[in-house]
Amino acid sequence: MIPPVNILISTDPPKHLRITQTMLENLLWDPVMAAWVFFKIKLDAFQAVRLRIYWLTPDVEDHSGFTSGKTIVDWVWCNLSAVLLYDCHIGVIFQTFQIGKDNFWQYYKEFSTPLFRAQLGLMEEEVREKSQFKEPGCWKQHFKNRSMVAMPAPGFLQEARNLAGWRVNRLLIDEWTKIMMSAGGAEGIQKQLLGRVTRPCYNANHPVWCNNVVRSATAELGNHPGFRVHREYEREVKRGNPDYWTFGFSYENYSNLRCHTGKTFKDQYRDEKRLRTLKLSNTPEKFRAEGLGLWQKQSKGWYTSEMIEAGQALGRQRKLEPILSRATDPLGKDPEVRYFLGVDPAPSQGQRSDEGAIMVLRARPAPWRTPAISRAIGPRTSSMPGRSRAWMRKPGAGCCTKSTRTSGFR
Amino acid sequence: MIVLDLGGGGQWIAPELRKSKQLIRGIQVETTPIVFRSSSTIEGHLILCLFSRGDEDIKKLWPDLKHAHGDDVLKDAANTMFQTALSKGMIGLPIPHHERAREEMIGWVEEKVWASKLLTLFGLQTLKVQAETDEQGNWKLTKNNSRRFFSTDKDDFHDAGRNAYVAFRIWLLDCDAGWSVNERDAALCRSR
Repeated sequence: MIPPVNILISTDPPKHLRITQTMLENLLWDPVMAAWVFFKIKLDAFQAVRLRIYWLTPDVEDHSGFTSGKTIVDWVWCNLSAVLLYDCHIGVIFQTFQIGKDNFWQYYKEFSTPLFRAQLGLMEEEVREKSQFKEPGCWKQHFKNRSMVAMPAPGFLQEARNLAGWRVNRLLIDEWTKIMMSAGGAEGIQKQLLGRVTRPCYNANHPVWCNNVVRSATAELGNHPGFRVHREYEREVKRGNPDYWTFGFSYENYSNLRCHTGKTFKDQYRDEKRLRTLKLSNTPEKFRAEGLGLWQKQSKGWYTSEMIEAGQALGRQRKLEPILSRATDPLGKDPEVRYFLGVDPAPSQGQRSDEGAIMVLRARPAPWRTPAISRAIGPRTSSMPGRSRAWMRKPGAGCCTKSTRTSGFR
Repeated sequence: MIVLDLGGGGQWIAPELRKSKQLIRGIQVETTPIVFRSSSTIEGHLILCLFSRGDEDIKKLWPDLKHAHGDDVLKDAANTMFQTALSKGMIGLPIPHHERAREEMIGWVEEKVWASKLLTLFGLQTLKVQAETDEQGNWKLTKNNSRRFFSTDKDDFHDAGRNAYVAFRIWLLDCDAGWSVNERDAALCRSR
C-alpha cells in the first residue's frame, strides 16, 4: 500500500514562463510585440496600427469593412489587457451569445502558447485547477493576476437589464451597429453597457491604465441610428480630443509583408474574387459601407455618368483639346470667342483637403449654319441680346455653347 | 469674366487682383487691375464676380436670391443650372486622358498633358457630387428649402467648372456690349 503523500502544486508558473518586470515594462508600451510574445501572432501593418489605437485610446470606434481582421485583433486586445494589466476585468459583448462563442472564444484554442497558458488560472484554492468557466449565461476566462475576460449573454430583448450591476474595466462591443438595429439593442448599449465600464482602475487619466471601450462593426448608411454616434466620434477627433478615435480599414488594407505561411498578407487574406461577388450583389452605397468601411450618407448622385459621357462624346466629335492660354489657343484670335474663368480657391492644408482649382470655359457661336438652314429660317438677326434671354428661358435652345472647351490648372 | 468662390479665401484674392503691380514668376510686372463689375472707383477690367448671394451679378442671374437666407440656396441654384447644362449636352469636354492616343499627344508641353489629366479628374469629381436623401429617396432639405450637397471625394474642380459656367451665364445676361454674332451665325440665336 502506498502511503499518503502531500503533493504541493504551485500556482506560480514555472520560472521560464513568468512575466518579468522588464518584460512587463516593454510589452505594456508595445502591444504588437506582446501579441507575438504571448500568442505568436504576427500582425500585418494595418492590424498592428489597429491594435495600437485600441491600446492607447480610451474610446474607439472601428468601422472597418468585412475581412479586415477586426475580430482577431479584438481578441488579442482583450487578452493582452488581461495578461499585462493586474486585476483587469474585460467584458466582451457580441450581438448574440452564440456568435461570441463561435467567433471569439475559438481563438483560445487557436493561439494557446505555453507562455499564455501559464498565465491562465485562478488563485482561489477551491478552483485552482480550472481557469475557464462556461456557465449558461456567461463564459469566463480567468488569469492568475486576477484579471478576467467575461463574455455574458447580453439579453438585448430586455435591453441588457441582466447586466445591471456588472462592472468592467474594458468593454468590447462587437458588431455594435447590428446590435443597435436589433430589438432593444440601442437601449441596451446606451442605457446599460456603456455605464458598466466603471470598475476602479489604476489611473483613470492614463491611456493604458484607464478604462476603455472599443466598438467595432462595419460602417452603415447614413440613415442608421449609429450614424449620429459616429459623427460625434468624428467631431471629437477633429477637435483633437485624444480620448476618442474613429477609423476604418477595408479588405484592400493588407500589406506585402510576409505572414506565417510565407505568402504576403495581401495574397493570404485578400480574396478579390469573393469581394467582387459581394460588390456585384450589393448596391454601391452598401458596398462602400460594408466593404470599404466608409459611413455613407443616404444620397443620390447629382450628375450621372451619361451626362459626362455625352460631354466627352461631343468633345470627341469636335476633336477638343485642353487649352492652356489664349495665346496658344488656335481660336484665341477669333473676336467672337470668349473665355470664362471659374475659381475655387482653397488653402491646401492636408492630403484630404480640397486644393485650389481654376477652370476655363471657352464659348463661341456654333458655326453650323448651312445655306439650307439659312433659307428655312428666314431673315437674319445681327445681334443677340434679346435672344440670349430667350435662351435662358428655354435652355433647350441654348446652342450658343456648342463649341465650348475647358481647361484646368492647379 | 471671372467667378471667384467666396469660400476658401476668395475674399482675400479679390483685393490682390485689384493691384496694378503683380509679382509674376518673381518679377514685378505692371498689370491692369481686375475689379468687380460694379466697381466704379478703379480703372481696370470689370470682369470679377464673387460666388456669393450678395454679389450684384449673381443677384441678377437669380433674382430670387434676394429673399434667401443662406448660401445653400445659391449652391442649389448653381448646381441645378450646371446639371441642366451637362444633361442638355451644352458643354463639351475633351476625351478622357487615358483614351487619348499617344501619337496625338506628341509635341504637347507638360502643362497640356496635366490639363488633360485634370479635365478627366473634373469628370470623376463631378460624378461624386451627391445630394442627401431620406429613406424614401426624397431630397433632404436645409432650413432654407435647398438640397444638401456633399461630395464623397474632393470637389474643387467641379466647383471651378460650375463657377466658369455661372460666369458664362452672367455674361449672357448682358453680352450686347461686347459680343456680337456674325451675320453668318446670327440664325443660331433664334428662340424657339
